[in-house]
Amino acid sequence: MLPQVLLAAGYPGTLDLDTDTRSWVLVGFLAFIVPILLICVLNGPERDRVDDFYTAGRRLRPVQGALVLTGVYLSAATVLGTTGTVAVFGFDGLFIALCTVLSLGVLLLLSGPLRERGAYTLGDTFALRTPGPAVRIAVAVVTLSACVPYLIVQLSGAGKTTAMLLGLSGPGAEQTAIVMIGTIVVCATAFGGMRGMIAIQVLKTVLLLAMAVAVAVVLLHRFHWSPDSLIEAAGRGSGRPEGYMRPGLRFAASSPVEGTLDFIGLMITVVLGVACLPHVATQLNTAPDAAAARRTVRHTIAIVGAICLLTTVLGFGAAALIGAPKILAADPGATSSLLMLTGDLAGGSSAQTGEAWLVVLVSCAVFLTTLAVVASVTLAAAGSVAHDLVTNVVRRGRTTEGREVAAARVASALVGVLSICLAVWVQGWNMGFLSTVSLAVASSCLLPALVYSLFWRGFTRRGLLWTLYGGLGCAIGLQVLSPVFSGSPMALFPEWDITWFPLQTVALVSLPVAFLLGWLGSVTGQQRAAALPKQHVRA
Amino acid sequence: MAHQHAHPHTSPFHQGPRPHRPGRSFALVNGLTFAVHLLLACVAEDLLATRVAGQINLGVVAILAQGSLMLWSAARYDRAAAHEEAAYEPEGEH
Repeated sequence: MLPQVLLAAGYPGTLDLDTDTRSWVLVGFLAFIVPILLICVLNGPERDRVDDFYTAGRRLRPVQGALVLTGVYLSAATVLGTTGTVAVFGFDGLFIALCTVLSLGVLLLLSGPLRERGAYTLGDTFALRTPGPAVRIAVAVVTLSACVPYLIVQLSGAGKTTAMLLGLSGPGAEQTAIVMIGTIVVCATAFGGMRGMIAIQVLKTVLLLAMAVAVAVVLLHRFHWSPDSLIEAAGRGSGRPEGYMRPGLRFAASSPVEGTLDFIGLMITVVLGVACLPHVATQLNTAPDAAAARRTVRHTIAIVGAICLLTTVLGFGAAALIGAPKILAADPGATSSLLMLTGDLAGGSSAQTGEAWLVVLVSCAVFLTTLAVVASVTLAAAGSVAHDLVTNVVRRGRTTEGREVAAARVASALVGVLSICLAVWVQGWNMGFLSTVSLAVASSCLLPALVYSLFWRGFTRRGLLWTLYGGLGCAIGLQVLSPVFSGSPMALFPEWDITWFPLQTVALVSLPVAFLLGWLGSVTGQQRAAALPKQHVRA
Repeated sequence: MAHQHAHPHTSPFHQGPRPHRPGRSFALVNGLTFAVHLLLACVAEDLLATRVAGQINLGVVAILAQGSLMLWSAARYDRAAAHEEAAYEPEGEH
């Protein structure tokens, strides 16, 4: 993807910056990333306390918490993907950006009750009303099913970015880069815990904002501060000017009925899924209380809204200056558009050293974004393994704090290593659909389970288990049987054809099924959820 | 009076999930406008494509309006929920 990025001519090849500029880029990059990782590790908890490792002592004020939550919320796939989708699909990209912001509304509704539970992981949240090892295992399975695909996508992207910045290309370089990045992140997570995470996320959000503003300013300056000329040029660049600012380009290749259903399904997946991703939901536990959690999410809406607005401007710029065909040729998932845009704004193949600062800024921002999200997803997944599986299922709650933190660190390493190995194994495949799988799992299993568990008194353990496993099976099963997995040239396995489910997005089916299963399981079961004993209320 | 809703000497969890009226109106307002917006994007593409100012069309305006609604209603919900919690607190204490 990225070796072609900064080349104005557009044919595949190595990075066409002169050696001076490339060394500046590399130096700037290293001078930036290494201290950040050091900060992360040095900020780690001084004592081995579970509360410190998972929630940094629950002392995060709303504004700082909003910066952290924004960092957790906006992954590299979101930022790059939004830019690319706006560049290639116009209005549909704008709608997806809107849905990303609206998902925070869902999180806002869940934030108060979630924080009131005082949990470390989602397993804790559910186990408060429906205790038992079966619940913990189910939640851990779902958490890992949402986290591991997400990690693979992010690590693959990070591998490509690094390989490009080091001036290398080819699968071997990308795989080495994946291993390198993954190892650094795993160490940072294992040593730093949530405190290190907070430091990284704040830096990432600030850098992301600075980057978005800088590139947008340079871009708008190029277009003489006229949104009209920008949008018009973007329409021309996309190759489909009449349809660019109308809904429908994203699924234009499908039949009208399927296209409409896919459109609705995708938007619903994004709105309901991003808020329920495990690392996002558990991030709220760093707030001091429920009111602070709500305020944090409210401030996050403003920051995320601003960043999404800026990325849509950047998307228009990418379409206008690069053109959709070149973007898609570099990467079918259109995630290269931001970097290609930067390369063009910084002068293309005749980039002077003076303009390389923009390239450095964008590369650092993208890279730090990827690192931060990998770290936070790894922490959430590790928490699930260590806290839910090891502490509560295997050891049945009988463990010391020191041992639980040690288990969490080991789990971070294991989850990290697993994801690194998988990312290396699938390097070169078309992995874009994995982030959709992750969102589909979150929206189809975790959202119904959270809504029922937090707001419905009649929800039983049986209902919870049916929702989690049923939603998971439905989402993954339908995704495997969809055209995204096999049967079309863009699919993961183009030579197979096991398409039985006609739509690309599965949420339209799996979400109602999960809600139905939860309701059925609860009303037909014998037990009702236990009334909560008083001592479970945690401040 | 607010006192008739109080269950003195119990924790919030003991009475189960309490009805959260500010949350319900927040969910309804945003959910309904989003549903209408989504429906319009599916069936009324021409309507959303009508130009309003230069290249900006009704669809872009609708998206910006939806985002602003979310921001404004989130602020309202936050304040209302904080008021409601403050109202519950004195009754929860012994």
